[in-house]
Formats: sequence, C-alpha cells, structure tokens
Amino acid sequence: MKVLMKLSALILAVCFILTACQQPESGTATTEQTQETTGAEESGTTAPAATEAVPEAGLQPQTFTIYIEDVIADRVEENFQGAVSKIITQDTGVTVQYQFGVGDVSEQITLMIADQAYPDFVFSRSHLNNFLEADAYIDMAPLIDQYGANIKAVYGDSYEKLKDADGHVHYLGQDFIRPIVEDPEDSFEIQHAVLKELGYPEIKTLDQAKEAIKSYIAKYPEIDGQPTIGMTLTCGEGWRYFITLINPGLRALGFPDDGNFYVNPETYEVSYAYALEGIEEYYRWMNGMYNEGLLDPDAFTQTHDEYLAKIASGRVLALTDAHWEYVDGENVLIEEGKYERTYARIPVTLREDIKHPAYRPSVYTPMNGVGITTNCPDPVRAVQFLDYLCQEKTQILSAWGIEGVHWEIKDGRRQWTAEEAVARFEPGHGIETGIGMMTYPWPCIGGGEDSNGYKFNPLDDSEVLWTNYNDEIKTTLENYGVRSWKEMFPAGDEFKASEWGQAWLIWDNQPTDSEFSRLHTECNDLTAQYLPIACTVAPEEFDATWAEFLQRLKDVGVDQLGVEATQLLADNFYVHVAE
Amino acid sequence: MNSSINSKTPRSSFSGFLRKIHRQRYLLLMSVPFLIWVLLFNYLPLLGWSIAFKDFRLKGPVIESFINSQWVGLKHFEDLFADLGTQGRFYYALRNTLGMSLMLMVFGFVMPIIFALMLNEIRAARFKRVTQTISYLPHFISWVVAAGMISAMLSTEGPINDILFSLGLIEKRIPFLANGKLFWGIMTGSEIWKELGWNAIIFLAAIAGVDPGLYESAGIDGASRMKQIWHITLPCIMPVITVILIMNVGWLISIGFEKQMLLGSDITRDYSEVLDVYAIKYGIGQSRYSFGTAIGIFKSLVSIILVLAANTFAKKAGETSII
Repeated sequence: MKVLMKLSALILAVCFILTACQQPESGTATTEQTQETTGAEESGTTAPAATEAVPEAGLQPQTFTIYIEDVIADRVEENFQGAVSKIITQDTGVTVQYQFGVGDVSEQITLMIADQAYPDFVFSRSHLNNFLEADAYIDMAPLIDQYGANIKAVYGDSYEKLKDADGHVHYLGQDFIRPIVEDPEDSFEIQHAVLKELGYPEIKTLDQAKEAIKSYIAKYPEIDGQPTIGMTLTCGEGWRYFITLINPGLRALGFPDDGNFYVNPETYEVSYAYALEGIEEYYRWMNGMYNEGLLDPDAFTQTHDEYLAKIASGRVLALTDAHWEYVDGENVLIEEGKYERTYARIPVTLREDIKHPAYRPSVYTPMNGVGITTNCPDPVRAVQFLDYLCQEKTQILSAWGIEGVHWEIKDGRRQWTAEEAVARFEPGHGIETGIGMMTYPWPCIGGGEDSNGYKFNPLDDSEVLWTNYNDEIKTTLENYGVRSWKEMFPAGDEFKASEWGQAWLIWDNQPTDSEFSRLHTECNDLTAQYLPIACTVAPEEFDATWAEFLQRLKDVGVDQLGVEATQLLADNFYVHVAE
Repeated sequence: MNSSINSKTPRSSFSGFLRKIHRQRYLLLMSVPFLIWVLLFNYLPLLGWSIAFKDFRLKGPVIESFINSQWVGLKHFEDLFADLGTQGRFYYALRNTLGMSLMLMVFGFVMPIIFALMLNEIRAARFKRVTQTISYLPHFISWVVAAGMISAMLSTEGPINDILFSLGLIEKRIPFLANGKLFWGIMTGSEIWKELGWNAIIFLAAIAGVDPGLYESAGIDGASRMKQIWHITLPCIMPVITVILIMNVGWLISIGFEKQMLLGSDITRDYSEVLDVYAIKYGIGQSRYSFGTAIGIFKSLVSIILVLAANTFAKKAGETSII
C-alpha cells in the first residue's frame, strides 16, 4: 500500500511537471514552423529556386503577407487565384496572403507589437499610432525616391502630406485618392411602394417624409399580416448607432462628414457637433416620429439581426441607413421578388435651403494606409510592388478586369463586355475573377479619368448604373426625371470643397491614450446615450432632456475637446496652410 | 536552567517540524504542482500591478517597454478618484456595480434559501425531483443565449408585453430594455431565474444533513411546519449560509459583465455600465494599460476589505468564519 502511494505520488508529480514543461515546447514548435515558412520565402528571394511558377527571368516568386484590422472575407476566398491576380503575379512574381483582425483586435495588435511578429505589410484602421509608436514601419521615403515614380505620380501633391515632420513616409494613403461618384451610400431611404402609392411626391424635407410615411401607414396599417413600421434604426450593437442615429442628424443639417465635429470653414475652428445649436432639431423630429408611433419602439435596443429581419419582412417604410448596412435585408426582398418593398434613396434635409452633403467634395487626406514593416525581408521588392499597383494599367486591371475579356473600348467609352455586364453583379464575381481585390486598403485611384480620358471606375458612369437598375428603380427614377440616384442629389460642384480634407480620418488616427481620445470617447458615449433618450421622451420633456445632455457634455469637457480638435486640425493642416 | 530550555525548545520544535515533513513527504510532494500552479498563475501576475504606478506604453517588446516607462506614483489612482468626484463615468460604473450586486446579494441570496426550504417540504418525491431539475437547467445556458431569450421576452412585440396588453394592464407597449431605471431590476430578475435552482443545491444538501430526530421531537412537542423550519432547519443550515454569504461578499464588486454588456445598450448606459466594462473601455480599449490596472487594484482592495469585514462580522455574531 505504501509503495503504491509512493508510486502514485511520484507519477502524479512527474505528470504535472511534464505537462507544465510541454507547453513552451509546443509554443516554440509553432514559432519554428512559422519561421520555417518565412525562411522559405527568404531563400526564395536569394537563391533562384527552380519552381514551376517562375514567370519571367529574374522574377522569383514572393509571398507578401498583410495584416488588415477588419475581415474582408472575399480576399481569403479569392486567395490570389483569380485571373486578374494571376496577371499581377505574372508581372511581379508576388502573391499576397491576407491576415485579418479577429476577436479582440486591440488585444491582437498589442500581442503583435509585444512579440514584434509583424507581417510584411500592415494596415490598421484604428491602431495606426500603436504601430507608429512601436516603430513597426520602415521609412519608405528613400525607397520611393528610387523605385516609386508611379507612387509619386498617383499621390501627386498629396505625397508631401504623407511625410511626417522628419520627412519619413511610413504608410501610403488609403483609397480613394479621387472620389468615385457612384450612387450615394448614405441617404434617406423610403420604399418604392410608398412613393408609388402617393404618386411620387416631392420629398425634400424631414416633415414631408414624415407626412408620406404617416399617410401610407394610415392606408396600410398592416403589410403581409404584420403591423407596418414607419421607420426603424439599428442602435443596439456597439458602433452601429453612428450610422443610423448620429450621422443622419449631421446630414440633415448639411454638415460634411467630419466625424462628430463641425469645422468652421472660415476660422478652421472645430467644435463637437452635438453641442452646436440647431442640431437638436433633427432629434426633435425623431422624437415626433417616436411619439406619433411612426418610429419603431425597439429601434434603440434591437440587435442588428432583428433589424435586418424587419427590413426583410418588407414592412419598414423608411430608413436613414447606409446602403451597405441594410443591403443584406434588402437582398432578401429582391430574392423574393418584392421589388416594390426595396428602397429609393432620396436626399432629405431639415429645411429646403439645406443641401444634402452626399457629394460635398473634400481634399484627399492621406492619414492612414498600407505600410511596410520592419519584418519585411525585402523592402525594395515591397516598394516595387506598391509602385506596380500604382501604375495606371494595374489600376484599370484591378477595377475593370482584363481588356477584351471583361471590358472593351466602344463608342468612346470603356465598357463592360456583354457577358461581364451581366456577370459583374452576380455574387462571387470578384472571387472568381480577382476584380476589385487590390482596392481598399491598397493604394487606389478611385474615380476620375485615365490618360486616355476613360473612366477609372465603372460605377462612375451613370449609363452603367442605369442598365443595371431593376424596373422598380427605373420607374421611380423616371417619375423624378433622372437616370440615377446620384442625379437626385446636389452635385459636388455646388459646394465649396472642405480644404481641410476628411477630418474624421484625423480624429480616428489619434493615439488611443491621448487626452483627445479620452474626451472624444466620453463625449461620444454621452451622445450615444442621450440621443436615444431625447428621441423617446414625451415631446414636452424634449428641451429639458437636451439641456441635461448639453450640461453633461460640458461637465465632461466638451469645450476642451473642441480646443484639442482645433489644434489637431491645425497640426495636420500644414500642407494646406503652406499652399 | 532557563537558557537551556530556551535553547532546546526551538531545536526540538524544528526537528519536530522536520519529522512532520518527513512523515508527510508524499502528501507534500503531491501538493507541489498545485503550489507551483498557484504561484505561477495567481501570484506571479501580481508583479504586473506595478504598471499601475508607471506610465506604461507599449513600444516594442513588453519587458523593454516596461523598463522604459516612467514611474508616476499614484497619478492613475488620482485620475480615478477625480472622476469619482465629478460624477464622471467611473462614478456611474462604481454605483452600478455596487447597486446591482447589493440587489443580487439580497434577492439572489435569499431566494435560493427560501426555494430550498420550500422544496424540502414537498413530500411527493417525483414532483420534487422534476421541479429541482427544471429549476437548475437555466444555469447551463450561456449568458449569450439567455440574453437573447430575455430580450425577445421583453421586446415590445414580445410575450410579456402581449400578456400585459391583452389583460388591459397597459395602454401602450413598454420597451422594457430601453428604460434605464428598470435595468437593475431586470438584471436581478434574470440572474435569479438563471441561478436560483443551482444555488439552492448546496442548501438542499445542508438541509438533507439535518438530523431527522430533531423534527420528530419537535413534532411531538407540537411545533407546526413553519415553526420547524424556523427553529430547526434554519439554525441547522446557518453555518452553510454564513460561509456562502462571506464568499458572496467577496464577489460583490466582481459581478462580471457579460449580462450587462449583452442586455445593456447605449440608452441605458447610466444604469448598465459596470466596473469591468469601464476598465475594458477606458483602460485596455484606449491602450491605457496603467489606468486599467489601477482599476483592477482598486477592485481587489475593495473585495479584500469587504471579505474581511464580513468575516469579522460573522465571527462577532458567533457564526463560523472562513479565515
């Protein structure tokens, strides 16, 4: 018995020690593995390996890895195997492997920095400063001077803005260097059925929109057996309240998308938009919608799936959403053939004299983009690859596809071939062909015209848009006498461009532990909390609620936030001021 | 004489200690891995607390960043309490944490005891078993699923509104989850629904251990069922209740955050944001690791004080204590 106990104690102890020891071993095994693979790539560049994929003499195959903070699922599915991607590999020898942020991105990036385990390229939408502070990026400036003629050509004047105070270039600006004038993503959406029923009335102001919704509900309190919902929002999950609750308020007042800030175009003084006088009028309108039963009572708490399910049921008459956010719900309606329940995109503002800012132009702001990390084994090759991407023919290849297969020059325009015009709008098209894979966040020209005067982007062309609308959309558009949604909105040249650029990029790329970011988060939190409350209180309590909101913003330090933001804008503004 | 005793006693006690070690050497050997475990995972990480007194910024490898960061003393704690003074987010987070856990302590602790007592009085064995099983099933549902069920139940088109509406108790459907003032109640209610049966198990076990002879003699003396519960069952399970209470007090400030995060929304933030969420959002979420650690230390200190206080109180009251 005693021996047995001795033995079992020993075995138990040994087992524990062994399992404790095993963990680091398995850990090193995986790092060795990854080192092996990167090692293989390195040897691939130094020794001319006799693999079958060598396309041209002197072009050894090279795999570049890139980390992107958000998941772009089709890039993984495409896996650099589409026809377009194969041409890129043929020209450069390069294939790209994507790594995406999963789970807690902050934590993932923190670990990446702590381990110095960077891929070859990094694009971080909201943690740029963490990488900069850790010196993760190499300085591209000397390499671009040597190999990057096309990069310089594409960025033009903006290239100087990419340089930091010491003249280093750590990243290239993200898309789009020139805006694509396609259909608006952000607008007021209202069902075709409502417009048809009311004889396509003029809906320019919020009050007109409300009347339209109200009269339709009065006629049809139920749709397909379920109660009709006038309007709904998606605010229940994290950042989504920005899209359907916060941004529409700014749009209705005609403010450009400068984040939650308002930049005074004369003095460049910045203030927090929700502390401005007048902004409450949009939310007073929402409050009216809610109290008259036109706004879904669950609007502020439902999950995004519940929101999409409501849209898919066809009983939500109006939205204030971005197209990419509600499109999944709308697609269900299209599949079921309920075209009249899909949405028309119209410019609705608070008053008729306010211009909807969808196409308000702004100077290109290269605040963030793809950078090469210190781990990249061959920075020269990496810069050459970026330079290749900036070439005009690569940009056309990436946006249009292959000449003769996907597009042709006809009637003085670059056009899709007959098959492509159909195939383009089928799901999975990009994955099969590789078209559109080398856009965001890679350097991408976007809109405008190439050296021959043809469009860089297919969707820039109203005719292209028209041919791809369904009949329901065409009917609605014809009744309003236009040929695309974008023609319903005030055109870009009606505005003075915001010469400070896209200010939201400046706010988004501040160090997360700065005083500015702390104040910004606190103010945004209050806004996210009080806007729903203001929308749902009784109408007579609205003013008191709004006053309470302003008071708490003040307590948190909204004035200080404005001062900090003004300073930041000035700091990131030097190139313009010099101009 | 005195000195010889003095010099002898420690030696003999020391050799006695060695003898004891020798006698228990296998038991000690068996406990070594667990000791290492505790040191490695519970005590070693405490070294990280030192970054609460530094301005830690991650610039490359962790150790290097740690060495390069500045000592700032109690700056982060001062920030924290300055926030408390101005009724900023930390004030609300602390208030919500303590408020919700106190409610949970009171109701979430008393209900399982009452439930266990009631269940114990049921004579139909099959019914009793089925009831018990049903009551602790929700414990095995994860909060993510449970939150989905609760928000569906409470939505304006959900069954609770349907019932209230059809009974004519309300004129307008109530968006329960959009009303901050109801949030603590909803939290407590859903926690009780989920954990009632599970928490009652330990009390049922304690009740099962009560000597049946006591009930018999009480019955002969003419004690009613209520009297028997009050004078026999409750005093007999009192030690268990005390121990559980002390342990619960220790968890008072760490009520977790899943359910608050899942059921709370922006509109109810003043009532739903708890300390953990605050630490994630304003500490780690903003790369302010030092600040986040300061919150963690604050939480631990409060927990220790609460446990010690509850323990002393229990000792004074003449009940068992755990320390």
